[in-house]
Amino acid sequence: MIKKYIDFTGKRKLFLAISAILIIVSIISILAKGFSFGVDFAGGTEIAFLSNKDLSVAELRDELKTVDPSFETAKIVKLTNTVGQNENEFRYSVTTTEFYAAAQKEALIENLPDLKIESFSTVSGFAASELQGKSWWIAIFAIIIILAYIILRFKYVGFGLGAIAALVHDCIITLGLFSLFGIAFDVSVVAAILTLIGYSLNDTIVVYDRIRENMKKNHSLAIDKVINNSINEVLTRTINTSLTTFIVVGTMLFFGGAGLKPFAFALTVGVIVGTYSSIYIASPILIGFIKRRR
Amino acid sequence: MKADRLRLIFVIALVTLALVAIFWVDGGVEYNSFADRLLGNIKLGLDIKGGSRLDYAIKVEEGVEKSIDEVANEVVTVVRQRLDNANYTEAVAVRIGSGENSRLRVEIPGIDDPAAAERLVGKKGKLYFGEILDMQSSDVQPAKKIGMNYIDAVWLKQRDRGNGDTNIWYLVRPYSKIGAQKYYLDGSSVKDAKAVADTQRGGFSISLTFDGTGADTFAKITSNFLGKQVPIVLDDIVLVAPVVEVAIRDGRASITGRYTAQEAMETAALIKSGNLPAELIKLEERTLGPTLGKDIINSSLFAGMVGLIIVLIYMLVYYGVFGIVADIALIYNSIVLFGAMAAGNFILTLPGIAGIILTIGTTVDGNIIVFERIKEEMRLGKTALNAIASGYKRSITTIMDANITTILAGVVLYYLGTGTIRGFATTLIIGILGSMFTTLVVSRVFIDAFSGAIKVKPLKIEGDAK
Repeated sequence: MIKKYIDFTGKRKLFLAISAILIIVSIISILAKGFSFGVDFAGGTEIAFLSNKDLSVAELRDELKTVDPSFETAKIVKLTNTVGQNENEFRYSVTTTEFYAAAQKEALIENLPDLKIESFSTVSGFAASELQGKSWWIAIFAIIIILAYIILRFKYVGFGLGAIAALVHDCIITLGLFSLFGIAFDVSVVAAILTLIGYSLNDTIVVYDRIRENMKKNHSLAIDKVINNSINEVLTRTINTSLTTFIVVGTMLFFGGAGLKPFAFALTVGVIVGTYSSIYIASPILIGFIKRRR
Repeated sequence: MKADRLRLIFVIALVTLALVAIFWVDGGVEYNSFADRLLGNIKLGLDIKGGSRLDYAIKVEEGVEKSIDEVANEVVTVVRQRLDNANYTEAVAVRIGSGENSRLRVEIPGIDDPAAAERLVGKKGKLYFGEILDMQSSDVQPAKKIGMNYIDAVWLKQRDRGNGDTNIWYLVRPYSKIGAQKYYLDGSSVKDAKAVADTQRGGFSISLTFDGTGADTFAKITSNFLGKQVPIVLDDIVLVAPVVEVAIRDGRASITGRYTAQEAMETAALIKSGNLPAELIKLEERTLGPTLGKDIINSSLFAGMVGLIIVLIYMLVYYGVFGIVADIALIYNSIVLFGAMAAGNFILTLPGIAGIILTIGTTVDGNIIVFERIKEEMRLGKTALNAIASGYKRSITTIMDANITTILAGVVLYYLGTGTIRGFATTLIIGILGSMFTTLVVSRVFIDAFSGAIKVKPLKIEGDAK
């Protein structure tokens, strides 16, 4: 078996530059375009309609407008049926910024006898802003706990900083892609991003553990050499793990249906970015930190 | 060797327990598909099995001199009773949050009509004081009585207080007839009802206060029905039917019966529900029809299966003997995970399924870390068994570290997250703990068993300057 020895650390400036560009693009997109928040965070109503007629989006919109003119601006998507669903039934997802109290909802049901409501989610602006606040807390709290663990675990500050840099890198780029592609950002995405943090750290930790071990073994070897050897040694593991995880989250993205889509998207992107960062960012960045200490 | 045998027994016992938990059938339930069978013993969240979840803000009406906590608890009791009465026995009404942020959360599984749930929660209860014409013990509603006197009278059941007296039926008319005069007394006349400790008889009693006109009517009723029962009816259920002992003229009555504190408080809250001292404002609603839920679970389980099969094949092709071990570990962990969900009564939600699918990744990862390490050790010239022992020893910290960070994220999500996200945290945590166990214990058993078949090709790294 022959494996090519790859010089990862040598080209670190190039990859740091690529990452810097990706991060800048992400931040610009987040600031300029923002996120397309789902009803969880933005408030409003998401309805799944089922129809026995094959309506176009425009036809459905016209029908909805007879009940409530505000459907003029609603986002209407015709869904493709997933495995096992009746081919003669047609499904639509309708998202509006209106909140529906009991009376309005009943009016909707009564005036649209041809359309069956399969799911109905309505979130008031108050509940949405509350959930947003809560999600921030969850994210901040989780990150603090994970950081505390890293600092406790890796006694070198450099390792901790490197892991954090990789983590921030992955989060910003994933969020940037959400913004860029306008994928619905809901509560499940927060969970996905926290999982992604765990995953990205997992990858980084495996490489770091090897670096730590090799540093003890070879005191004389230059640090960039130690790091590059370590990355090469664990490369098979990194690629195989990422590939298998990619397979499962990828199938979730393609076959999992609309409900899992934002979640699966975050993870699929996260796996790619996380693998890349643990090889090209987290470890090379250590060189600078450790050189200064030695 | 003794440790090995112990390990093997434990591994087999655990998977047997898990299989029992998943497939144990209590009673003659029929399942249409494998997915149904697999999930038969697992509690499903509303986002899978369908149903409604409604969150309400509780707004205390002005002039009510009560703490928000008292009001919130009353609201929950009343709504719970309404759901019970309407036969939504699996429905849950709970209070979430505290103080000013108190919320009412109602979850009704398997409801077809999304508007019905809301009507039920939002409506004001109809409470009245009536007159009892007859009483009977029966499992079903007794036959209607014919006769002039029985016009307006209906058979109503006594409220289930959990002591088995639910088969008592009262023939009640919604007013008290004194001579030819009908006296109506309903919930709007009740100013207050509360539980008080009964110092004379022990236990708790319920104290009632009527407003001005209510007090007059109640005085008429009690003076004419001395020694008889006066039923208090809420939404067609007889809450209590106390016997009138004295005529009450000051509008202050006491229902004694040596109730427990809980019983007295509940009954008091229900009596007052005719004029609930709070307004319920809907904040959020999630309703999902049962068919859509089924489609969702089928497509996500399908995605999981496809992913699992591809990974199983990949591992087999890439790792050979190790691949077989990894595949056994993967299947083992999936079984244990489903078993733990069934045995622990955890609720499986849609993000929870995503958590299960993710576990495939962690299990494979742990195994790969160990396999690569064993290969390295063997290349150093160690025998297979020695390489396995030291490979495991060296991988443990890495596997622990890598998984503990994810578990930490999971624990935060579990405690701070709500609803479906909690379901994700649940499967994630169980799955990761399981994957650590399968990697470190289950895989070990099989690798040891297969150690003779492990062959490692020498590795040459090109261009290594080491």
